[in-house]
Amino acid sequence: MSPEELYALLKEDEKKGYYLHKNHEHCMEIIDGLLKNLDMYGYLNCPCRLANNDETLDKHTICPCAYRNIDVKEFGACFCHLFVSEEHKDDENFFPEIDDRIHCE
Amino acid sequence: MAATYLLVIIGFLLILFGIFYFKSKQIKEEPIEDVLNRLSQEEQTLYKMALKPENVPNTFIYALTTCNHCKKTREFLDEHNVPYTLIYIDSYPRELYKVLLEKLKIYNPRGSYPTIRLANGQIITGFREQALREALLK
Repeated sequence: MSPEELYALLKEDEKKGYYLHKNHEHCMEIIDGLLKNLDMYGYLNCPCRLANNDETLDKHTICPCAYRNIDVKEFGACFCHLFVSEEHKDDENFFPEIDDRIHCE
Repeated sequence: MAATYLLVIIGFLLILFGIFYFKSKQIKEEPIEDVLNRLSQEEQTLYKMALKPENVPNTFIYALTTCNHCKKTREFLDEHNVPYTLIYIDSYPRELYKVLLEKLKIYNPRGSYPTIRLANGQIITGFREQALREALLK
């Protein structure tokens, strides 16, 4: 899968209200990380989190991760800042500070 | 009667085969020291520093190669000429990164990246420009 193909695939989520960050360079860096993880582990683990090399164990951190919707709702962006809410879809400089929820449950 | 004996023997052989098969499939974990010795001197030194960052005279960062927050942290520190030492946990073999992760979680129980330990012991997690400015550029 090429970075452009993955970009197009993730962009499909805009129909659900989860927009790719306006800063295209930032998006492509995250997508490069995702593709590196796909190559290393066989699945699209979030590049901001350490993978366990076990798809079942990492099911919550496969992009879009299990925390994306709640983070976008609360902070306007997901932990990686790949997805943002409609409110921030045109803001190229929107990078809020978000604590990782992964070990908070 | 003979058929019963035959079935028991076949059953016994199947159990033996199963035990042998699963034993052979078990992955034997290599001792940490052996895994460490296969790495370059530089990687070994960095690993040992990561286990005792309190002995490092400057900022120590636990990072991932794929993490954009880690990249931004590096860029910020480079831009402001702040000296730091950084380890990419995911570039180490699994046996070692499990040990590194345990150490990291002492400082940051969430195990998120980057985890930054300043020379004074303060911990900053994630790329927090304002916190870095206040702590390092005063």
